[in-house]
Amino acid sequence: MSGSPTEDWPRVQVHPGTGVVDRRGDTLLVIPLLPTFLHERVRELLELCSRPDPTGHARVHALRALLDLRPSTDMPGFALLVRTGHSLRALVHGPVQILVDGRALGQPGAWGGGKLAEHVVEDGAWHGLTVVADGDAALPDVADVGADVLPLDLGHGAVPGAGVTLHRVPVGRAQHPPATQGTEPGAAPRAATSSTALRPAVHFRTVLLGECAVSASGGPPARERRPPLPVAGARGEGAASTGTRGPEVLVEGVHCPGGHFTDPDLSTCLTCGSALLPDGRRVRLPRPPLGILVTDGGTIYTVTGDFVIGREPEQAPDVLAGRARPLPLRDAARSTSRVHAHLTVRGWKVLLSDDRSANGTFVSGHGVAGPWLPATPQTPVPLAHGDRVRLGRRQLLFDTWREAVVPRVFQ
Amino acid sequence: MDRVADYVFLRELGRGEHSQVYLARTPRRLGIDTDTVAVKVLPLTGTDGFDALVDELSRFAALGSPQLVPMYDVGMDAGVVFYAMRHEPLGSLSAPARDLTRREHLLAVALAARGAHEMHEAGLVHRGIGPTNILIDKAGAVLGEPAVGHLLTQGHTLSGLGTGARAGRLEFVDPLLMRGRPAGRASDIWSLGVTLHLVLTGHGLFPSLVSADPFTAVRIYLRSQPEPGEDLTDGERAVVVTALHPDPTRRYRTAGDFAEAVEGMLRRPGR
Repeated sequence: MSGSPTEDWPRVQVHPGTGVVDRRGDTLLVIPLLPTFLHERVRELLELCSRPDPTGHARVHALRALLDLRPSTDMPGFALLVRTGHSLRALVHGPVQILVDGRALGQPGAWGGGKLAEHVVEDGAWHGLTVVADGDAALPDVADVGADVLPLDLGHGAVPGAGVTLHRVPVGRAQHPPATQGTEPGAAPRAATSSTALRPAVHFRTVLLGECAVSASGGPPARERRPPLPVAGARGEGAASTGTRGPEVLVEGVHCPGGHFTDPDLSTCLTCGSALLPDGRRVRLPRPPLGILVTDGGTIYTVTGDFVIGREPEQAPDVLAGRARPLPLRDAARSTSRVHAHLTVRGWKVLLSDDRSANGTFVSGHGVAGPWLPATPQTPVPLAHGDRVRLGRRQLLFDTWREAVVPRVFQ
Repeated sequence: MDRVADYVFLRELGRGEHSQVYLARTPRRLGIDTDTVAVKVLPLTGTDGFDALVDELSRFAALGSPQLVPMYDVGMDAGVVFYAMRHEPLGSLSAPARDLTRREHLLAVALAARGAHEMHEAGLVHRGIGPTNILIDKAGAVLGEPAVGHLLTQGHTLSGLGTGARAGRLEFVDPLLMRGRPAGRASDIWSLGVTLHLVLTGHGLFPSLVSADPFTAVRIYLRSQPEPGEDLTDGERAVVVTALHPDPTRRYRTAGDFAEAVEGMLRRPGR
C-alpha cells in the first residue's frame, strides 16, 4: 500500500439499496443483498474485513477459511476491494458482479461454488468500476450510473447500499491542497463526502425485569416459587439440583481407609493418597467426579462425564444427543477445529482422543516443556493428574484435588 | 464496542473473565427515571442458555430486595447476551469511589449476606459473591447480580479464575465445588467468609496463591487450606473460621446467620 489510503482511493459512489457498503482504511466491502437470516454472517464479514492487516494476506487467508467453514448458502454474496500499491485487488464471493468500464470482470456465473474469486485491476486500466448484485437489471454504462447514484463520496464507515461505482481521481489531484474554491477553469465539481458509522440493522431480543416488567405489563409472568435451598447436611441436600452435576454413573470401586470411594485398580486413594488394601471389598456406587479441566482462559469444568472439545463443540452429534458436554476452546487465529478432540470417561479412566483436527492434540505429563505426545483418533491417551493438553494454540490442565492437612484453627 | 441492542455505551466501567460492563444511556422503553444504567455483556454461543438466563435473572429481579441490585432488562443481540441494572456510582468493595471505614466495610459485607440469604430462601444460588460484586450505595451496599456462566455454557461449572493478575480470585470459589459438591448456601457462605477476611485484613487466605499462571494457581489451590490472618481479633477469626470450615455442615447454617455474626462485630468497638 502506498501513501494515505484515503487519498489513493477512487471516489466511492454508493447505489441506493438495502445491502451494506463498508469502507475502512484500505478496504471497501460491498454486500449488495442482505438476507435477514444472514445478519450474523454479515457482522462476521464486517469485523473480519476491518481488521488491521498491513499486507492484506491475513485477511484474504481468513476470508478463505471462513468460506471453507460455511456452506456457500450460509454466506451472503460480497465483494471485498483492497487497495494494494498501484492496483485494486477484488475478492468476490457469490452472486456479485464487477464491471470495469461497463464490461463484466470474469465469466458470468463464475462466482459460484462457494469459493473466493480474485482479480487485480491495475491503475490506469480503467475509469469506472462498478460492483452490483449479479443478475441485477440491465446495467447502464458507467457514465450513466452516475446519474442514478447518490452524489456522495463515501469516505469512511458503513452505509446502506446495493452497490458502488468507483471513479478514478485524476492523477496528481490528491497532492493538491484541498478547497481552492473551484477557481480552476474546467475543474470537475468536488463531490460531497460522507463519513458515517452506521451498523447493519440487526434484530435483538430483550425481556424486561423487575420494576420495568411491572410497569410495562402490570407485572412479570407468574413463576412458581422454588423451595428454599437446603441447609448443608440437611436431608435431601444432595437431591437439590443446582445445575453443576451430571447424571449419576455407577462404577465398581473400593473404600480407602479414609472412607473415600476410589479406583480399585490403583495402589493409593485418588483423594487422600492413603494405601489401599489389596483385598478391599468392591462395591458399586455412583462415581465421584474424576478431576477438573482448567482452560488457559481460567474456566473450570468438573469431569463427571464425556466432553467434546473444539471451536464449535455445541454442534457435535454427541453434544446434540446429550451424550457429552461441550467444552469450547477458541482463539483469534482459529487454531482449534470445530470438533477438535473428545474426552471420554470409562469407569475410572479419563481418555483423550483427537478428532482429525487440523493442528492436532498433544499431551504432556511434564508441564509446558514436554515432551508433547500426540493423541490420535485411533489411540486415545489416558490422562493422569497434572497432565497438560495442547489443542492448536490453546491449553488445558487436567488435575484433581488432594486432601491437605486441616489447619489447627479448623479442628 | 460502542453499543448493544438499543443501549449506547458512554464508557467502560470494568471487565471480568469473559465479560465487560459499560455505562449506557437508558433506553426510553425501560420506563425508569434514570439517565444511565450499567450494562454487562457476555459472549453467547447458541441460544440454548438464554431462556435459563432469563428465568434466573427474572427470579432475582422479582425479589425486589433492597439488598440486591435492581435489574431492568436482559437480552441477546448478535452473538452476545447482555443485561442492564442500576449503575452504582460509588463503586464496589474492590474499587470504591472513596476510602471506606472498617464499619462501612463490615456493613457492606453484612448487607450482601442479607441479600444472599433472601436469594437462598427463594431457591437461588449466587455463585459470584466477592468484593467486585458488592456494590456500595447510600444505604451501605447491595449484592450484585448472580453469576450466570454455568447457564450459558452447558457443562461449565465454575469460574472465578481469570488469567493474569486475576488468578488470586480463585479463593472466592469454594474448593468443595471442584469435588462435585453442588453450589448452594454453603458455597455462597464460603465466598462471604473470604470477602470478610479480605476487608478485615487486606490480604487473602491463601498466601501461596500468588501465581499469575492459572494452571499453577489451580494446582496450588487444590492442595492448600485457608490460613486466616494473624492480625484478626479472636472474634473476627471465629466468624471467618466458621464461614470457611472445610466441613460445610460446620459452617454457618445460613447466610442470615453469617450476617448476624458480622452485625455483631459492627456493634463491638473496632480495633
